[in-house]
Amino acid sequence: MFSVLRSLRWRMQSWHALILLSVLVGFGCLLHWEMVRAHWDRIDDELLGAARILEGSMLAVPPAILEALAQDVSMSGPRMPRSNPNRPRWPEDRRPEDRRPEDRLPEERRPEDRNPPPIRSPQILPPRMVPYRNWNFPGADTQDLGDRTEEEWEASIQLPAQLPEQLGRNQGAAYFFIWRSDGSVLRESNSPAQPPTRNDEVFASLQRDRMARQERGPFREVFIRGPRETLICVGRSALREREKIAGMTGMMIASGLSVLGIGLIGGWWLSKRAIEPIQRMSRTAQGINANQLTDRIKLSGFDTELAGLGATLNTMLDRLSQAFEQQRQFTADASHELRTPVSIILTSSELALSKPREPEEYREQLVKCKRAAERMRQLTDSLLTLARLDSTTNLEMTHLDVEALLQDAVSSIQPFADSKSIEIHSHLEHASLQGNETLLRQAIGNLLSNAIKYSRREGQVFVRLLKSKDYATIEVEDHGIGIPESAISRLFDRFYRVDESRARAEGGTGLGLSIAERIVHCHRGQILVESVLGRGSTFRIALPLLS
Amino acid sequence: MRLLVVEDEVDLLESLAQALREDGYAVDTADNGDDGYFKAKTWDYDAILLDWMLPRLNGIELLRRLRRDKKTPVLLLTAKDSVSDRVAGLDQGADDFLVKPFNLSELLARVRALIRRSTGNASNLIVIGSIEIDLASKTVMESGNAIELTAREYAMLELLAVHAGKLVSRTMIYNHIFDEQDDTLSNLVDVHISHLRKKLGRDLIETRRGQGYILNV
Repeated sequence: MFSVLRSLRWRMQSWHALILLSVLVGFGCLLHWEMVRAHWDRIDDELLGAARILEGSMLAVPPAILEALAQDVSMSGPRMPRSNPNRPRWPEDRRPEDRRPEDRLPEERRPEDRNPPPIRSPQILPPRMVPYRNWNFPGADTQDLGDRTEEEWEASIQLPAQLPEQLGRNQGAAYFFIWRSDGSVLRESNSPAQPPTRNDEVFASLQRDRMARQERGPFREVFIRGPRETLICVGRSALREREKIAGMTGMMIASGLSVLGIGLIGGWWLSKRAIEPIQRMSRTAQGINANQLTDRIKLSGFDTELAGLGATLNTMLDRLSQAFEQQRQFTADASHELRTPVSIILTSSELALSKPREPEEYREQLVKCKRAAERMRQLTDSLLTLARLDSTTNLEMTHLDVEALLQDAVSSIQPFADSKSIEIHSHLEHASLQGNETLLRQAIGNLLSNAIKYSRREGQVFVRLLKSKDYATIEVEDHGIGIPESAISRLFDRFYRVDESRARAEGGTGLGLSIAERIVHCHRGQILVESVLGRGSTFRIALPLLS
Repeated sequence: MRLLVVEDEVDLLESLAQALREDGYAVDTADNGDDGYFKAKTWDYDAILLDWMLPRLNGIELLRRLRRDKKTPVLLLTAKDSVSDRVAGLDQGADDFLVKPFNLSELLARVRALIRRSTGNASNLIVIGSIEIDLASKTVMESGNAIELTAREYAMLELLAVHAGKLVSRTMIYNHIFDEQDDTLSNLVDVHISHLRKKLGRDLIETRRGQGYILNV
């Protein structure tokens, strides 16, 4: 379980699933809400349309009255019929500027109200409809009854007993109720439903905007304020819409789930594709170990990012295998160097012991054995020094007078120089620094003995100590055989010898310069060499004065 | 039997050469690859002891060049001891491989085995009529009695015996019995032959005038 949580692929998959799920849920909810709203809006529009028709029917004036009205206009100008002025109304429905002059409050009265503008002549319009009121005008609540009484008007209203089928578009029979302002039913259709009871919410919304809607059980109902304080309610069953919505919701959930499923499978496949090359890389890397460092991760077929990682790994492997190769080479060289004197000792002693011999013969073999043992001692000393230098992180440092150190080193090598009649010239400035005396003496000694070893008889060796601001520079210059250019880069490699047979004859281990280099590096210094073949070499050690 | 030792460690080279001479071989030496290659190409040695790491021309390269026209058995001496090194050495044409440091007695035994195999003998004992020659102990018996021979006489008998029934020319005897240090006169061969005849019987070695000698089976 823990490993599953740590798995990149599983984590990627979980995040993918979470994001996909939230997107689907959000989108689905929005879609669902929009769909439901659209459905209800459509029903409401239908019902409202029906209500408007009912209202229109209630406003229709019988043709006889229309004729009388037209005659009145031609004879005595228009009358301003007023219905019962005491009838309760909803004056707060009207904004002050929309109120008719006679409705205005005393403080709102305007000068032109005294002389009302002439009323324009009513137009003759198609029968049955009088454009007496603008139905969109807020607060429409009265109707001119002409010469009729309220009862005559009510009786003249012709409404269908049932709303036409197309109103409900065959989706459940529509019904209506019309109430008077006192709450009594003025008209009603053959209704499949009980009339709605008073609903405060509906009432409040009717006060505001002449129209309200409500859901009552399986029915959807729209209320509008009708003419002469009536209230019209049109409703119909919304069961089929509900079923439809439920069906579509189900479909949406089902399709959402299948999208989620496909998305998850796709994500799993994608993450597999993304991780597969990493796994491939790690399999290759597993196959590479200390014994098998030659393998490399194949970079072809990887994407840029992974190819970068692979290249980095390969570079690391290159360096690693180089280090291993160096180590292997060093071990091989060291064992070779040690085995040779051992073979000499073994062969010489076996030969000496194979039969009784003259003392001189024994002596000869013993000399060989001693030489070989001497060589082994030198070699083991050098190897130990190197091992110690490799493992040491901080040397034991003391305050050193480099000038005195060099004088000392020169005087101790003097006998060797004398044996080849070589003259050593010293030019030493005064310098002192923090350093390890024994090691620095060894490094300088190695350079000096090399200089003498590779100088011709009666040659000259120059030793200089120069002091600059930050460095003390020790120079050892000889005019000897020099070093070929091709050998300079390998000069400080362990067991490297420019001329194998010559170095052997001179008794070198092939480690002197490596040791000198290590010592200088341990002092945070630098060692450089300049050489011309046949003309001589100059070794330069720069040591920082401040440690 | 004449050997060539190529080894750059002079002390080791001297000791080896001395040990081999004391064992009855004629020994030439070379302390670098170039000289070694030149000598190996010039003379028909019975075996070559070759060091791997040599200045100027390394042992493996020397071997590779030598194998173009010589079948001389080669014993490779080296401080390299990894399996891959041995395989490389043997694949380049070495007949045997000895890792330094080695025991002198083992080295001598390997040289004997190398020469024996190259002459087609499976055992160290050569029997010709009533004469038995033991190549390992370098002793000769006739009808059960030990016969005292000098080193040179033995070397000559051994050379004739390994080529028994075949003509051995005087040049061949010179090439295989004497090394570069010898400046022995040529008529010494006849002296050694006559000594051998005295000790082992007249009929054993037949002289072919102007050609050489044959050991009759």
